[in-house]
This record gives sequence, structure tokens and C-alpha cells, in this order.
Amino acid sequence: MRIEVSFWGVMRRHAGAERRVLEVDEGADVGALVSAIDGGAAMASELERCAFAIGTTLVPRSHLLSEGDEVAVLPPVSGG
Amino acid sequence: MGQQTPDLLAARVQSSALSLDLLLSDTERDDCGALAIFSGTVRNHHEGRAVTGLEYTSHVPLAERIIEEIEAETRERFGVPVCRVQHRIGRLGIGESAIIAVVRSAHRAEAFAALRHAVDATKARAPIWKEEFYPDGSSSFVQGCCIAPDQAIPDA
Repeated sequence: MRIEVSFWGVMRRHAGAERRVLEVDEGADVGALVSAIDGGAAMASELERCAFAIGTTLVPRSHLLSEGDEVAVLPPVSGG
Repeated sequence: MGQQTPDLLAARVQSSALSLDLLLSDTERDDCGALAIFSGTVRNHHEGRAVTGLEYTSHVPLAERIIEEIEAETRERFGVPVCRVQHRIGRLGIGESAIIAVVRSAHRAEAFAALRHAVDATKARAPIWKEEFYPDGSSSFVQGCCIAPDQAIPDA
């Protein structure tokens, strides 16, 4: 199934794009989606510290994906 | 600014300049004897390095929800009737206000404590990212706090 991924903060720099569309197996969870994100070593390292959101809900890596989900990749935050 | 006022007051995350005056006039209450205010402004150095400006970016819908949640949690936990937080995004120069927070309560002790919680929680939980710019034209994202619900990694 197709999942749209959006990258935020430094992850946008690592990904070289705001968005990517990835193909994952039916029944895949967020963790499987993360494994399907290609990138360099810096990206892989930073992904370990990222949170994920669908809409305005933070979801754990065990969250099961549905066709058409849009998953936001959120690196550690630094507001204020 | 006239007709923009309601939108500016409703927003927790905005690209236009923050207005403490608007936030104060919007939160006036006769039953509150304490008003605690925090304003975080852009400074010209970080970890010994000169900084010329910052750029804040945000996942705005999620940040709006999380900051509203922090405001509600602060009001409940500290028993204060008013807590509001606003964060600016976009490119900011030295001295510009990046975050303002207002707490009003009957007495000062809970106002100070609630204000600190609201600001600390916003910095630690709202999906907002800070990129620093340096005199040589280079930039870097500031290391932050992990917000993954299933991966609480302590950060500086």
C-alpha cells in the first residue's frame, strides 16, 4: 500500500525533500515504514530519535498503517 | 491590525510578530491578582558561538493541538484560571520575541510555578524546530528533545 511521508526539521534536510511516497506491505506498522526510508547514515541515526504523527495524533512505531495514511516524521524538537 | 486580531489571539503558532499587549488585554480577569509573563527572545550567541538569527519551523496543526493541551494541563495541575502560550515561526532577528506565555491566577506562587511548567513543556513537546544562522553564513539545527511516545530518550 502507498503511504505518504512528510519530513520535518532537520529530517527535511536529510531527505532532500518535503515528502516521499513509499510502498509498504499490507499490515505494515510505522516501524516497517521507517525501515523503508532510504537515506544516509545521518538520516538513519536521526530516525532512531524521531516521533511519528498521523494527522494531529502522535503514534508509536507499533501503530498499524492504512492505505492513504500520511505519516509525519518529527525529529527531536527545539522550540522556545 | 484590526480584523486580524481574533486570529492572532486564537493562534498558538504564528508567523507574524507576537503581541504581548494583545494577549494581556485578551486575558484580563478581575479575580486574578497575579500575572506572570515569560518572553523568550532571540539572543546573539549559543554555546559560545555567535548567532545572527534563527529560523523556526513547525508542524503547525500538531503544535497547535499540543500547546492547547499544555495550556489545559497547566490550568488543571496548578489550579490557575488562565494560561496562554504563543510561539512564533519563520526567520527571526536578534532581539525578536520567539515565545510568549501568560499565566493569571489569584496568587503569585501558583502563577510562577504554572508559567515555568507551560514554557518548559512547550519547549520539550511542541513540534517546533530551531535552525541557527552564523556570521559566516552557515547554519545548523539545534539539538532537541525526543517526543516519541514510545521512546523517551532524555536530552539536553
